[in-house]
Amino acid sequence: MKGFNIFLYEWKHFIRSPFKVVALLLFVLAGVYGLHNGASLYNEQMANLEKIKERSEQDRQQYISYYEEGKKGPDNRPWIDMTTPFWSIWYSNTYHFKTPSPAMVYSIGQAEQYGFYKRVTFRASPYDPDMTNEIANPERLQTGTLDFAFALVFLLPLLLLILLYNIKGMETEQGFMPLIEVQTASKSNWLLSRVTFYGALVFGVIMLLLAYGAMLTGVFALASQAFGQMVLLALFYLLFWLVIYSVILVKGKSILGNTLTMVGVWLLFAFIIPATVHQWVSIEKPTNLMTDFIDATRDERIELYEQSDSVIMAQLKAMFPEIKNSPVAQDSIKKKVAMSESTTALFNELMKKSIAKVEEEHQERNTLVASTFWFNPVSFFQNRFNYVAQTHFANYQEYRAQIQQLIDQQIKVLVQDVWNGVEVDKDRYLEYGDKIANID
Amino acid sequence: MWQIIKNEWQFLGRSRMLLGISFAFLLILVLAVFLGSQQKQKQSEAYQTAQKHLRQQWENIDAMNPHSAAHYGTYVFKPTSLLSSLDEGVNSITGNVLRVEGHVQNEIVHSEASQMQAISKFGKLKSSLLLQYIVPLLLIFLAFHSVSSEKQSGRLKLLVLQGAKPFQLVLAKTLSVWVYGIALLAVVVLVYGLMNLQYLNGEVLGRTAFFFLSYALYYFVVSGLTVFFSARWQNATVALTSMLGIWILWTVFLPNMLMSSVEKWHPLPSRNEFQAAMKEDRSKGIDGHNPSDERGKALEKATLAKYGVDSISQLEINFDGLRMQADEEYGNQVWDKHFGNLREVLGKQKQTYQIGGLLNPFISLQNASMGFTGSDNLHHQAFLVQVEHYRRGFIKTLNDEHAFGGSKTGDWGWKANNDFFKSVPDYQYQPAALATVLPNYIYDLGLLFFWAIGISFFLFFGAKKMSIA
Amino acid sequence: MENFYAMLKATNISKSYGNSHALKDLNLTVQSGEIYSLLGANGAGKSTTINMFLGFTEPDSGTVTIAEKDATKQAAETRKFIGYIPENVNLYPYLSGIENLDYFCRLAGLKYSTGELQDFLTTCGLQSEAHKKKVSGYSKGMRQKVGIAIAYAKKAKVYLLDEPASGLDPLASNELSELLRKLAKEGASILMATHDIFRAREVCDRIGILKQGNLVKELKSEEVTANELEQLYLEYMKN
Repeated sequence: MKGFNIFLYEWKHFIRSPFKVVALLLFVLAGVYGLHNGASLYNEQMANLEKIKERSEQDRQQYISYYEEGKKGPDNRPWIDMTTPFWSIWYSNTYHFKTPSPAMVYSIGQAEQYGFYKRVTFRASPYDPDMTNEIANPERLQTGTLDFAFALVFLLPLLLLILLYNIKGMETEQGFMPLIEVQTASKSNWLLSRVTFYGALVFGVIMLLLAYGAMLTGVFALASQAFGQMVLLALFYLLFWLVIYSVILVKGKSILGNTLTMVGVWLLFAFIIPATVHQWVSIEKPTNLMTDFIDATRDERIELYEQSDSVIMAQLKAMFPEIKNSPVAQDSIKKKVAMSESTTALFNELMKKSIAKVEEEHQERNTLVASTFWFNPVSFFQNRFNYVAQTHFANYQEYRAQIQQLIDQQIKVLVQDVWNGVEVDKDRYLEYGDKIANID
Repeated sequence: MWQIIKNEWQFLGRSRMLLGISFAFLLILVLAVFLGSQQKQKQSEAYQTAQKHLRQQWENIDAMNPHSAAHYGTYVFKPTSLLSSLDEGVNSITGNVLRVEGHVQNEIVHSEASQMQAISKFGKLKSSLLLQYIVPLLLIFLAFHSVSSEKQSGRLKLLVLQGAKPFQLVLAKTLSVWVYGIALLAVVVLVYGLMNLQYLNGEVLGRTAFFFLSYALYYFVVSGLTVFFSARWQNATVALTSMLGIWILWTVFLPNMLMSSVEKWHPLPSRNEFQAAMKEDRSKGIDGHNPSDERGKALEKATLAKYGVDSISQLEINFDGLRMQADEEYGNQVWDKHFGNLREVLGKQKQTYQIGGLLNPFISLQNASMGFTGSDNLHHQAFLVQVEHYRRGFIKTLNDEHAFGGSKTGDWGWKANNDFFKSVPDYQYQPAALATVLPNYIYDLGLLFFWAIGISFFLFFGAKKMSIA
Repeated sequence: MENFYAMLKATNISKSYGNSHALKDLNLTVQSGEIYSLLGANGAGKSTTINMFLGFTEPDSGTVTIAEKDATKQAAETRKFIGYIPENVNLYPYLSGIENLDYFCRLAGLKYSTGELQDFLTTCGLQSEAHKKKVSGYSKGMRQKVGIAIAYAKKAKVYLLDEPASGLDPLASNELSELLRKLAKEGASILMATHDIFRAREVCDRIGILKQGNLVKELKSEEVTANELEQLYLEYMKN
């Protein structure tokens, strides 16, 4: 009861300290601003996807009209024959999107470093140049967007610092700590009640901000689980800093000493440790300049296509045993065209091998980063927030994996239909849309 | 005044805690310079290996049709500048690999940031991180009670009675703290210089001098403002908390907020819109691969007239090469227009952000630091333009060989030999000269000077109104 | 409040800081309803004795008890019965006098109405117009009065006062004396450290003179006049 009274009275201490009130307001301002930045990116991406879908649909309708009008393709491109599976699938206009989670409102994370839409063709790869980021000012990306996660990860400890810095230190310096000790009997309860008040106040503010953010992008309706996860993560992060600062307050004796120690700890966790880890990882695992990938897309590809027909055919049969007895395989003229159109499957395998190496290296780099989390909590929480908002590296890795899966599916359908000598009509074209646009 | 500075230094020199912190911090600074150089060296090695590998592949082409070679293309890797080990700027965000090929101007891809999960929001442990964020904090900690402690102990009265003028006093306090910052800065520059002795030239020294100047001015601003607060308020804690508040606003809050806002004030197009617009403009030009293209036919007519023949088959040259080059040149115009617009928007964003230096000298420092170390977006854009110019020359060489190398129109089986491919020059990065980029940062330097002068005025008038009791 | 026979008792307590002896074999007892004054020069050991009863300083030897409970080991228990007035009462400057009183009462687990809080402050001499003003605008004496009100409102059985009249004007000092007598009448034990010989003689039942950590003289105040006490004190100080 006594502790609860102290807790309630802390409101008066807080409200009479303009410095603390302004700090809280600034934090709220930064939080709201960050949420709007997140919501703005979410809306931008959604609008972008809508436009792409719209344009893609227009193109599809154009392609469908060729079938309806009995044409083989556009008049100015006579080599295109959309009655063949090759061209029909090429123009199936399959897009795969990394539809942003409404939880992006909370953390933009790495969303601006990657593409979020991709036209998937049987010649595509998840590492194509169009998988690069949106057009953005690199200096802004480097400075980092002020999103809600930034406010939470970096400004929250500063806010707590400002709210807590003079607790106990002020009473000690002013000389009335003994009076407090005599009155309250338990100094630690008194300190804990006061710290708990600010913890509760800040947590309340965070909850309100999270709820406000949820309303901006419809988190409650579309990603309610993410809201719960954000609340929990924010609570753990808040507790992490509260514990650290409380220890400093318990051990410290002066405002100055406490403030300097708190700033020092903040600098250590927010700047020095992540920066050192970043530097170390860069030296241990320098940026992959993707030369293996380049080799696969150029020289190895040329070598692949320069192989004799018999070698190519043997490789195709190993991959797709069903083509051995297919109708086209029995026709030597058609067989040559089919082989040429199916070689992309072999190229895809080549690319996958090269991508596997790249991704293995990415994985090693990420494992290295993750191995530092036990002493690098700020980076840990930052990445957890990104993960909940689905803007983490892993989310984009998953997106790339889905693209690869779609490519594989497309190639499978292509090879089957090419070797079965399928003549594509409108219905078949529409079927392609279903077969290759959705992941099995 | 020199006596006051000397006294201050003697006092600081006796503080074991300060000496300990300074020593530890110096070690971190030296470590940062060392790690920065290590990373730079590793990156350069990787860059050279990759570039050599790609060049070898190019030079190993025995025989290939020049236009097939244009599609085969080559790759350019973004080199690191020597000074980027001090301030990495945008380098970890921007891509590193740029494919150079015919018909298409590719985007630079595979940034370091895209290859792993997020680690540090404020970049790697580079000297710039410590010099921009931590050193000012140390200066604040040194300066916040410099005058208030004199007041509280009553020494201020004594000093004034002994003839010291208040302005002299606050200026001396500022300078003594500032010199500490300068000493740390000097260590960084010296260690960096010693580690890169063999690469030092006029250009590097010039850039380093401006780098030094920018930080020196900023440190004066921070030291002066903290001493001003210390003189203004009786309570040292108020001075400290005020300066910490300013530090947070300047270094963490405002740059982020302003940068995000600037991109909203001068919006960039989405990649999808941008590419659609480029594609549309591109479609209005010659299609190099489509012989039935109307504009291609007009070129054909003009070429026949020029050579005084009636049909393509009579031409001594290969018209396909000319058509491809015409296609390229049209594409170049489209690129110039659209990427020019993009650079213009980026330029406006930069200028608006630079104006933010009026409110926040940290912004000017950051701009100047990245600029003088050649790691800002302006240098990145200059690199992209340079590669594009190389691409144009590269493709033109191939198209010319296609057109005038001895083949006839439609002879796609004709191949240029290895000597030709070896003769195509490799990409050579030309770092932007300081003299050409300096005007971009005059504004930042000017604002830092403006702040330094402003702070001097603050100190002057603040000292006049300072209560001695 | 618990009903017990409040008593302060120090038995053979000694305390040294390095080579300096703050207290040497001090024996002291304050009965319930008694006001005891410790007189002595600066550094005589008055504050050390008070701090030992408060549980802030642990004796090197001997025991300090309040109501037979160890003041050091059971400080959390004994502090419940203590009202404390330090020499300089510093309070939260951004809270008013009444808010400070309310806050410190709540720290002790006591909740009073605004009227009751005002009564405490008025009883302790703080004028009613000052009650709601921020303490940052208070004089030292006004702060001291709030400090006295904090101790008074606690309705303690033991009061420890370290130069309580410091900064008080003569009128307020008189009011404090009256208040202390009232508290003693109600059964409280009061131990007061002071330099003020006349105030000690006037308000206390017994007086102890401390010199360099030794209790050199103990006497009942009724045994001496104020002038005699001053003479006695000066003699002890000179020798």
